[in-house]
Amino acid sequence: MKTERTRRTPRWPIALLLLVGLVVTAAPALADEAAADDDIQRALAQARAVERDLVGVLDEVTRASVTVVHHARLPARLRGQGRSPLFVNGAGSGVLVSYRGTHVVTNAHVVAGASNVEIITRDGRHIPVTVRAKDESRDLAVLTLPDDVGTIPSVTLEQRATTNLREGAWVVATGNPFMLAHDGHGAATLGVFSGARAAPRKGMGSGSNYLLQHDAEINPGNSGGPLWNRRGDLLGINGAIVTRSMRLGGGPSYTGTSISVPVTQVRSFLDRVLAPPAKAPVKAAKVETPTPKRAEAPKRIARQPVARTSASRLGLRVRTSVDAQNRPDGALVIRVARTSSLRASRGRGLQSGDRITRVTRGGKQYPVRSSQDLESALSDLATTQGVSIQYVRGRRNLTWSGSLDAVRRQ
Amino acid sequence: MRSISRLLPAVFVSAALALVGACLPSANASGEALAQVEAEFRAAIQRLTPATVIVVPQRARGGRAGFSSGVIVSKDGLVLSDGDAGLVFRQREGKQVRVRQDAVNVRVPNPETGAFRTYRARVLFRNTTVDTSLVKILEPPPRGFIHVPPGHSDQLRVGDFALAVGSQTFEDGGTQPALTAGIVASFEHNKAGSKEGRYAYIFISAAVNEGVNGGPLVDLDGRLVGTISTYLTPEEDEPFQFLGKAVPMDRIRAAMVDVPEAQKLFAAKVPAGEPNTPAHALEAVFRAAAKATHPAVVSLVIDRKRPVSGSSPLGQKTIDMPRFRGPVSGILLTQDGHVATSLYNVTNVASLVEPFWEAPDDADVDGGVADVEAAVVHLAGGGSAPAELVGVDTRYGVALFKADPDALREAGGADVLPTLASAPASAFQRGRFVLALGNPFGAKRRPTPLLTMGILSKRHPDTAAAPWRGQWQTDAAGLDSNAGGPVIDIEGRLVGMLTLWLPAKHGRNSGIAFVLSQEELMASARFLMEGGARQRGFLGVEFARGIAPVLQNVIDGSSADDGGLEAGDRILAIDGHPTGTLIDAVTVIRHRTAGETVRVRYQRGDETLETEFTLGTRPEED
Repeated sequence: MKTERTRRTPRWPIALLLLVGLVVTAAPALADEAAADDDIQRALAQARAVERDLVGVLDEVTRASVTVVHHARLPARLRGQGRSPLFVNGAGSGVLVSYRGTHVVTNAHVVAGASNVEIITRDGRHIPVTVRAKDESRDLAVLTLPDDVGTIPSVTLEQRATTNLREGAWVVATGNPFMLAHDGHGAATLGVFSGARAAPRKGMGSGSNYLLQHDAEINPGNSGGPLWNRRGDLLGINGAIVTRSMRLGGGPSYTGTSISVPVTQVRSFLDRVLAPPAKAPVKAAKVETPTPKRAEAPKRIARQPVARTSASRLGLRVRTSVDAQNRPDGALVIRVARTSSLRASRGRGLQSGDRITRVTRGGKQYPVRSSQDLESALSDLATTQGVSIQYVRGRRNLTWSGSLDAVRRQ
Repeated sequence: MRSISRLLPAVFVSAALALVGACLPSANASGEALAQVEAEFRAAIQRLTPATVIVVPQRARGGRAGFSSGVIVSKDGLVLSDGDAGLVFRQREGKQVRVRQDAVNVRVPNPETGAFRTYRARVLFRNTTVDTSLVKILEPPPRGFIHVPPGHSDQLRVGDFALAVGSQTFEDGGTQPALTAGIVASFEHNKAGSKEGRYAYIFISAAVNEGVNGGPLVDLDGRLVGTISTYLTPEEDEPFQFLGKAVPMDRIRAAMVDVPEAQKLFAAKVPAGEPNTPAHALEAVFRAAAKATHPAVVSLVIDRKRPVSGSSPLGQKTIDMPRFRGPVSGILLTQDGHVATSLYNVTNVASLVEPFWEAPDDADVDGGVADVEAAVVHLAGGGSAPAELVGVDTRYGVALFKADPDALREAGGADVLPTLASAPASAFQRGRFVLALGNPFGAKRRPTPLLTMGILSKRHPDTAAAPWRGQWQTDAAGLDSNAGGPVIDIEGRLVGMLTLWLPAKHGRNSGIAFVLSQEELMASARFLMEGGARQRGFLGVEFARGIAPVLQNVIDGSSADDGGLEAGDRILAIDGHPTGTLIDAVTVIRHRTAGETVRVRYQRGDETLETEFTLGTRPEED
């Protein structure tokens, strides 16, 4: 996948002084018999209702959407008199999230190498924040707010946001494209959800099991900013665009394909970095995907043509296996790719018909009751070196162990 | 000639609509209407994704295989694709030649698993002029395929929603399904009575990418109204650049009229849509508003010594940005024949955005304005009159032209010129729908403007250190061909003028365009009518060498002197912009015009002080 990442942008300074304009000019508003067109009146009433809903959602979501800037200190030899000046070194977007406290979630690449990070909220506050944790493979970072931040708007992570997501759903992106939200008022763009897509095999975003594609306009600077559904639920974190604009004689900008990290990944990332380490991963899996019915990936999405999950990156195709009482009891292997190092040869390894029941890695055990459990268990592969997979073949309990790095090169 | 008086009632409909709208009870936002619109969108594409296929040649034999999307249109596996279905690029005597194979493979997604299954197929018919082909899957499964039967395109109107689906390709050979949504922006019309139907091409605001060519275009009712042909690159004479281009279904039908396999396919009745739904209501309103306001969207043909420079800063480089060089859009502003357009259409404005850019000679703002020799205003309903440049306003990005009002009225054949009603202050709200109207057609008339749709994204603060300060931002596609044209609300009232500032960076059709509010547009126009000219604000100081903005000298009697600034003061912030560096300080000042008041925070010794003063002009040099 050729994906141009959104880039940092240079700066434009800010300030806040809104003048609401008065209408000075008005052409004579002549009533005309032609206006008594019932159809148009009815359509207009309906259109205004849609518009009201949109205005309402945007007012709500832009509260939690923030601008993220980081400053660099000028080298000593370039400093003038007085204090050493700071200048804006990079910028992106973020979202205020309430989950085990209130934090700012953004892309890891927005705060890469950053030390003096600041967020700008819609009410114009500049708030210094610290980078608490980053996950480059998922391209997510969480920023900690200072203790004295006071009341600040935020959103919760809603399970319903992605479970019911279908192609054609309306989405809204807010953020700081090209530093155009230096005043903290996120710029909003409207689009439709286009489907779940394969995560790249390498690099940023590869840690997610799938990504969201949509056509709300995302540009450099939107990175780290939120993607919302029509109810104002957080759907994901905008991170990348696929663009051809350079070939059309310009810089990198939106040309129809925007990519976001799904909110489920945000949640499992926060689970991992904000909770006590011993409990975190298992709990994460449980919170996210207690049953296949409330799967991490919406059903329709999981079936996307090329949605390459963590399992499929290992060359596995699985589906949830059920017992005689129709209860999920593992991940049934449908197919093992010829190139997969998990493939059975000389009696060792997986073959179709095997039922995966448990994944162990890094000394932690992940019970697998559904294909989604397997996804969760494998979802942050990049950070793990070794893995063992327990599975049932016929009546035998077997185990495959190996290095994930070796597997991923296949 | 179509008389303007016949169109006039339509303009006033929009004014009356405004009144009607104002009387409606303002219900609270429940989310219900938006939910219904979304449900309609989802339903429209429900059958589309499983019917969207990939068509590739069976054997490339050493050449490079082309790639098309397609759509299954019958249960037994008839597929519509583009004229390049089965294309192979071969090297022959060092040159690349295009060979089209009839033996193709069609990859069909399994609706359950999403995995592709490949079927052998044959191209039954291909027409590269129309850019269409009919492909037959040779061995369809007994239960048949999920399909989208062909619809009609003649009932489509500018403003209708259009959804494009296909498999997008990447340079590394990978593919991914893509869905983009937009509205019908414009048409290329066939001659009246043509057997090929009403339209030759459909132009859509949705972006389409490589590989999506051949894929389906459907309307809100999920009916196949065309297939995607291509996206349009920025050519000098291409008014639809950066838009998607689709082949209308009725033209495809006409092209295949003699193809035996297509007879049954096209004989089937197309189901009627459901017009009384919220999403259809939106379409109806877009259509009506665009049509009603069309007469006030004029086209300006500007005669100039040199074309407007495409030079633009991009990072550390200067690039030559390809631009549309045809007629530009304008707004008929007054009964005195004033026409406003964007300064972007008259000169290169890049140096107003990036004051430190070392612009080449041809990118000088004043030079570009001086190149204007004459202009002609073309009315949307036909008729034209010569116009002259009244002046330009670098603060608001406005260029004002004036035509003789009597000549315009005579050309239009009406007593009153079609101007637009103004949107009230309450229309300026984040999330409101807006329509951008363009008229890049000059003397060639179209029945509707070039239309793109979006929402108001945000308003930039008046003190922003950028030329778009005080302007609104919209995600409606801003293009060379609609810059300078009006932006209206759903009731057809003038919200403002569409402006582009630096498309080399923000892109065209990239979701970033600016709207100068009608109030500021009128203020600027009045300023220019009175012979006003903007001058850059002059602070009247010399800065000390170094990075920090420390004053070395303050000129006696200058505005900085009036404000009480002294040598040795360090500027900390101007109008709320922190000025850590000298460049920060100068950037803010360069974006201010003479007569504006600035608020300066500065450090003197250990004290932090603040002052406010009005910027003057640079004194005349002797």
